[in-house]
Amino acid sequence: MERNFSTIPFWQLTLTFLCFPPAGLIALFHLVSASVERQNGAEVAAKRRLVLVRKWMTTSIVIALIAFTLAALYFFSRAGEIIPSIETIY
Amino acid sequence: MTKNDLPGNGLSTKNTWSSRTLWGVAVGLLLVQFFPYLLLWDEAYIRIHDTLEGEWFWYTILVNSGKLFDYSRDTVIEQIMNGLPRRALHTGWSFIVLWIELFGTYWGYIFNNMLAHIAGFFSMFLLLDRHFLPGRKNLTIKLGVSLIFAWIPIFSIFGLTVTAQPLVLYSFLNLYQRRAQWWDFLILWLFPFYSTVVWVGIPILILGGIIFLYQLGERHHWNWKLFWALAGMTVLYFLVNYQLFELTFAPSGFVTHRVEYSYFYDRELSFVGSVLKTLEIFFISHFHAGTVLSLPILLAALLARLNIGRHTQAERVIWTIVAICVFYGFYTWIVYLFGEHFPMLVEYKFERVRIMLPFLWMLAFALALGQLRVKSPRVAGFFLAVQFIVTVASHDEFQHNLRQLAGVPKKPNFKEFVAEDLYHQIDAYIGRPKDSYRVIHLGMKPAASQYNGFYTLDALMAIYGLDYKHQFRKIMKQEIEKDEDIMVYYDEWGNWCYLLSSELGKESSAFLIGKDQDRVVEELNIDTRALLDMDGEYLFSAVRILNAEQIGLQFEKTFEHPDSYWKVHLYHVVGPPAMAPGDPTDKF
Repeated sequence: MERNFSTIPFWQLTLTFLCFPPAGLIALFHLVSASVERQNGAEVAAKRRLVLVRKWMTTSIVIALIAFTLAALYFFSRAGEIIPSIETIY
Repeated sequence: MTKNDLPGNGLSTKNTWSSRTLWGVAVGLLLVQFFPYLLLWDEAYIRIHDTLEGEWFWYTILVNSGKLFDYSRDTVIEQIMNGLPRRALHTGWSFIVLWIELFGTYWGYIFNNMLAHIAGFFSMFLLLDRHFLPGRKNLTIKLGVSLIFAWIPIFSIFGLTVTAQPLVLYSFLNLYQRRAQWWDFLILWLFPFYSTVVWVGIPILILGGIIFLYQLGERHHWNWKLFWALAGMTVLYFLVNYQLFELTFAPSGFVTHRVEYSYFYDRELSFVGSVLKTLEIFFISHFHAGTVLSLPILLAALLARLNIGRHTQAERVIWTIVAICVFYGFYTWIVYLFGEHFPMLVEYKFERVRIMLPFLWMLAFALALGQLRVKSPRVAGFFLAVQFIVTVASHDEFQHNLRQLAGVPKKPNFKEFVAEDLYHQIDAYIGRPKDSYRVIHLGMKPAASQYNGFYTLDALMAIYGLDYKHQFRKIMKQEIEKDEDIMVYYDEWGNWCYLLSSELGKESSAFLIGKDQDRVVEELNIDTRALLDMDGEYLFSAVRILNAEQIGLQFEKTFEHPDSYWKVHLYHVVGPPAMAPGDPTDKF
């Protein structure tokens, strides 16, 4: 399947929202701005905006993974009181 | 040469680490998980669940019995359950037996555990390096994923069941590609000696069979080498586990307690429940297979998909995982619909295919990172770091050993669990040969007594006689009928052939009552006459029994030792007062 560029920002935006909603809002702002700039003929500025969308996606993933790691550390330090299937081990 | 072809880690072109440094770091981090053994020496924690309470001591008892290879139908292990058929225990043809023979119970476990994790590292690396991520570019990813795989908290009592799966696939693929060497046959034919047929034998043979049939269908050509490799594996699994197959398919009068299994004793037939179960195993895997928190892997796969804008290999592996998870989650429905016509669905539990999840997750992770690497090397490195940290955190044995080192243990270490000095005291007090009487336990695992040579009526067993189960039930009939939960637990499952108390419950903690807990049972209603009928003369109890005299138990002495996790209240079974001749009173 060929790379379909038109759908990429949508999925990037979705992933950004899922990982860290505030970053998703910022990415949405950039995406909308890029669309406006493209309509106004400012193609270079629009491309820059798309790069920013990608950067915010990366940021949101990093934030989500850090939060996930901390939650996992907390969870496993207390496991036994939370999930029964793991309780048997702990 | 492009920047991505630079030798070294393949993740960053700046400050590139040499291959040797990367190997050093990976092997160093791999070995960190074994440092607690070095520091704690013989006082390390070993997982109790299914390990010390069961499987590992079964091997020890077998080795000590001298009946490792005696599969005759009359051979019994007297020490357990008044004579458990030898065939109900593990095969003698196992590397695990060899380690116990060479190093003893404790060090045999440590050696086997280390070997299993180290094998995981090299087996994953070989598979990735040869078949999925060849070349030096992906060295960091290959080493990183192999390292994480080697840290997954597997149950090493199953040998290389989990950690050698990549190695088996490596050999299958070598055979598929017609570039197999003699060692591929060696790997496949040694695997049955160091894995369990119940957990992995059948799924692996099915996988090999699918590869064989795929090649036959695709190229209309018989791959005889693969055929013979699979045939050899099948025959070896059969020979190695001969006693199990004979007991299952030609039991000759022996009826296993498993015929009374109800698959639904702890499972509800509900759609929502099945969905939740599917999600649970998808996101954290299963502890018998090895805990894997899959969220970072999913994110990596999604990102890889966005990066290259087309379907990826990682996606295919993840869809396979999804299929296994759905099969596991909805297996209850399969049993409900077809279990009556196909009893094997209940007795074997085909949902055990979940044992392949840790390997498949790691394979998906490596493939996703391989696709991420080109555009986002730092992100790939970050994913590796996150997955490594959460895997280390999920390693229960490592965590409990850190707690031991820090002086804040939550569970007994091996020395405290087996409490040899305490049991010597009890033995000396009773002053009779251990084979001249039987013991039973309350609030504690019988495994520790078995380890110390006592003959126990109670045990954790995967297979034992149905008659024995019914006989044992008579002892606690009144007690379990007080609480439907524990009654169903025993009647419809019963692998824990333990003395159950309605006041203590059926959770694992009810059989791990330590000396600091000082608990009591106010009213225990057991039939001491039935207990005496089974030669049960002593009760080792972790709790004080307030109505002991009323039920025919005579308190003898309480035993404690600084090195013991247990405080044992020794009761002599004298039989119920109603046993006086001519006394018509029969409260049991």
